[in-house]
Amino acid sequence: MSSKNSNSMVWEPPLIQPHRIGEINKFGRARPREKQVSRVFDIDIEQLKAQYGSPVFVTSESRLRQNVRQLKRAFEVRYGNVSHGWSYKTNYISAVCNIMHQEGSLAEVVSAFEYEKARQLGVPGEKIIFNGPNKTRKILERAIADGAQINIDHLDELQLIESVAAAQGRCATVGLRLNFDTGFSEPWSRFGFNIESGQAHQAAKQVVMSEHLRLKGLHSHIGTFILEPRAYCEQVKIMCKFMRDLEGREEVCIDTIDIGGGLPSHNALQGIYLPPDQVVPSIGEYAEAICNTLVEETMYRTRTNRPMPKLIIESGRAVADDAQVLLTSVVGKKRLPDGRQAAILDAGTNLLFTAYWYNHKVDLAAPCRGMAEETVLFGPLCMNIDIVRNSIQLPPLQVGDTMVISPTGAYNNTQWMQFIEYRPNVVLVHESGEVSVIREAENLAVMSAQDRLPEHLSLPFL
Amino acid sequence: MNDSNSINQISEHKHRQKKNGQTNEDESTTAVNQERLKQLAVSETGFIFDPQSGQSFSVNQTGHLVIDMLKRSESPQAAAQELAVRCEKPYELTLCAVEAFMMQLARYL
Repeated sequence: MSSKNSNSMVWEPPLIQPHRIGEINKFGRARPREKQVSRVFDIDIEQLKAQYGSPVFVTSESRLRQNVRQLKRAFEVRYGNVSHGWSYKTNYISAVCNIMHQEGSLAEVVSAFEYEKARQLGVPGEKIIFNGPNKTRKILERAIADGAQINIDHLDELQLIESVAAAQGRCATVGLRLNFDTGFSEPWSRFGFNIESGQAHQAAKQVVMSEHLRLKGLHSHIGTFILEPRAYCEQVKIMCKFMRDLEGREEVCIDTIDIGGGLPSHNALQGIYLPPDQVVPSIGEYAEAICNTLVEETMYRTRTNRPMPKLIIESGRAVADDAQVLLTSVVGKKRLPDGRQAAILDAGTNLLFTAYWYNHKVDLAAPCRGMAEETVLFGPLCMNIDIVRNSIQLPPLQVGDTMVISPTGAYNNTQWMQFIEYRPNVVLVHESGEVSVIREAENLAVMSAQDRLPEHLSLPFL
Repeated sequence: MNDSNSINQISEHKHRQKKNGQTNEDESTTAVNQERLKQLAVSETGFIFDPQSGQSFSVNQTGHLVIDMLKRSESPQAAAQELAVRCEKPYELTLCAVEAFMMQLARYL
């Protein structure tokens, strides 16, 4: 067709890209152009990879502190008597927990393991909120002796706590976990005592009548990733009404109203069309809604010179999610039979459990080599469902390219699976800019440490 | 594109062809609607309009060249050969890329 020199061409694989309706959406937002990112939390990405391997979770101390301060300030300026309970299940890496505790957050734990972890970190019992439906006698004995704030989940637990407190000759300070219908989100009726059915009043009466229990607080958690601040208004109204009814009928004074967590992060939930910055209200909007309702509903206390109850917020996701990213590398690429570009990454749903419900943001730490096209990002597992992103526009990829997946700070370092692959390093970028490992990568020794081989099975072949 | 990786892909592709008894180098393995291809309006800048579906596309420079050649009824292998010469890349690599491109075209046309 043409001579070699005069018609030479820069090589890139031939590519055709359809012009999509929605390229510019009805809000006038153009699809962001692919740009290369080279730093995360002000640290060079390739340097992080070289030093700590790939994949690696990178966490920011500054961001964590900034987020929790922002959350507290938003509530404190509107209500005053507020505490934050750091939800351990969101991310219980020790360094992350201690950052929260240094910022004054209580430990909110939901199991014996989490309770023991908080105590091991040096959190005193009275700074632990003990939730969850599975509290064994053994851990309750410790928690009651430590003076932890225990929120009762069900009647059997109520009786167990009473019996432990009686055996110890103590009066355990407890809260009641409540459930009810706010009309905004699916009621979480499996946890706590139901208000509408009268169960909660019955349980409260039982606590009040016991000489070994003191009812101090009310607790509820209406759901997760709640995008409507009015849901919290309704929650506070219902809890306060219950409190007023209770205080009117029984000799009791409620000190704390714990509204649980559920505040969203700026992650993109699958199935939601609009981007997070358009659907996720600010922390200020939630604080405004919650605190205004609380002030209104507890005004009667001011008139009778009784203290306002303390408000406890157990927000995890909103504080931690954007304080961590995952660096991962392309280990292979292929063209799927339907023509889509596919890349295999060294991190999948084993590390990024939240990929099952979020469309994480993916940034390329590699030069843009051509037109973006529809791409599938697979993880390294031998499972068909190991998909990090099912459909994302990315330019041509190469083996070794680094991707920055964000935000990953909530529920990945706890819900990740030890399945097929070792779990990688988690590092912390200190406020000073120094970087250190806060959870070491697993290796064969870690993985085999709990195995016990009966003598007759000590050899693989006889 | 990583060259050695692409060559691995083409080896795999050839192995597949052998298994299926398709050893003729000139035979395209991907069905693209030739009539539809010829109807495409292609601008010099790589803007493509498909009058049948009303869909528009963009192609990059190499894709532009391949479509031009296919519209003139030249084979994918000839397009791969042309790309190999112009881009100074191994034919195995460009053939692999053209095959992948044919799969993309088959998806849209």
